[in-house]
Amino acid sequence: MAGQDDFAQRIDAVLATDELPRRFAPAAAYADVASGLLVMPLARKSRALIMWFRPEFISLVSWGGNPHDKPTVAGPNGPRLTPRRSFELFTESVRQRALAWTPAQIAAVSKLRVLLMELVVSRADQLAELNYQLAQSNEELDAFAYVASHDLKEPLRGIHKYAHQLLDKSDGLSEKNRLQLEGLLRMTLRMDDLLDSLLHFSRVGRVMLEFESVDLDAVVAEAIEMVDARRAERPTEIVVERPLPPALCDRVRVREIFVNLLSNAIKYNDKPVGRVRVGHLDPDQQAGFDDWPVKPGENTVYFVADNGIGIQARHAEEVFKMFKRLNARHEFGGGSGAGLTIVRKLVDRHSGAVWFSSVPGEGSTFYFTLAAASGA
Amino acid sequence: MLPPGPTPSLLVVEDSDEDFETVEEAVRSAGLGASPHRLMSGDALLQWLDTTFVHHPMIVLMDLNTPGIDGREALRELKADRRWRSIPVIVMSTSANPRDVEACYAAGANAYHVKPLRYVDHLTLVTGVLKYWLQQVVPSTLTAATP
Repeated sequence: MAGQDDFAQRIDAVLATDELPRRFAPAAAYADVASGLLVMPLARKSRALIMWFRPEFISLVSWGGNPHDKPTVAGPNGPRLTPRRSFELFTESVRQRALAWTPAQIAAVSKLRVLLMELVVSRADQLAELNYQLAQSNEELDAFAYVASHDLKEPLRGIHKYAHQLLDKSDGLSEKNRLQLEGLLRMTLRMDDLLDSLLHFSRVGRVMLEFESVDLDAVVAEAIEMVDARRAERPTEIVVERPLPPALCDRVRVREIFVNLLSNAIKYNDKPVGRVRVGHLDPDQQAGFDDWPVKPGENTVYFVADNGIGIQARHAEEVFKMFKRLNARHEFGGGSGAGLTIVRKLVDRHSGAVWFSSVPGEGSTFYFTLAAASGA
Repeated sequence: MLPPGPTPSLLVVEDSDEDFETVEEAVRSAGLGASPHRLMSGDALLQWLDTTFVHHPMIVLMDLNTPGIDGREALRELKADRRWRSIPVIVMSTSANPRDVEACYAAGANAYHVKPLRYVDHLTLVTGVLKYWLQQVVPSTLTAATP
């Protein structure tokens, strides 16, 4: 109720009243249980309060005359004040009031508040310190991944080079040795792929995002163009169901999300013709999706659905893990196994969520959320 | 046609033996006739320029991750010095990081290349770069101030 919010917002110190309905009219409705109120605000922003209530205490008050009677008499020029003529006692029951709070009670609550505030402040300090340490160690981790992958690439290039030259120049090579050298070459290339993914992942974690209102239809069109080469290898129809609403996001990163999801949808498909649908569910279209990790109806949910090989439920967490592959390396065109890890990192950095539903053998649908563009 | 003149000399800042060898192989296989002079670090490059360099033309092939002051800093100092700034510097780096690329161009790099892992690709790249800079680009013929 708006009235309550306003009332709560105005309280910035310990407040005690024994006549709540007079200070807050709606309270008249529950005056029997809450005519007295003692409030201790905890935090102004969150409007957190601790409240003690006192029931109505009907007391009899004796007046020297009925205070509700106007001491007037009708005169020729209208009502006119006259002195009271009666000195009889007037007794009235006073309703919607509670027993008054004692100074000791109010002082105790004030003291409690000071103690709690001190606790809150020291907890906030601890949290800030922990946060700082966390940010620091995240930064170090990213820098580590970055440096490590660079410094690892240089010797790798040397290994590749010598393997290549041995293979190239040695005539008297046995078949077995030749195969071993070819294996060595393949492994250096694979290692290079992994290092690239690691580098990319560490960059995705550190790069500054540029948030703006983004036309997602244009972004998806670009993403579809970027996966075109894959479609040549594996015929796939891609349909965008209906125009997507704009979102507040980093255009380049969100395009990367779509490129990764589309690539997977095309790649992990064993049907003669792959079918991929890109679409969204408005908040009012999300009833019934109770298995989602986000509350349905709060954000627009975007999805990329395919008719591919699907994912077994027991692999639900695995698919997002770095370098974790669910299929043998040579199946479905290989890949470093970093795509979905990067998708999750990108969605995380947009404060969104990503998840999927799948029927093995029939297909998968990957969902994610982004903040809606303001004014959209 | 290029105006007649000496082939620019080739300075290579590279601490990796394998990568320097690849440059030598590129020079040999393309018959470029230049003999690459190797320096191991950015410090060595600046020192060489300060003490040995006499005149143009020449080009510098530079790796970024070298010991001591790294390639980026050496590049900045080279391009900030009027005696040397017309020397073309071609960066050859393992890093594809947009920040490195941007920093090098901002410092005045004349080109930036990422070293590929595959030997064949690497050799092809270096050969192409050297052919272009040594045979097709008109070199600066300014004579540097006597050191």
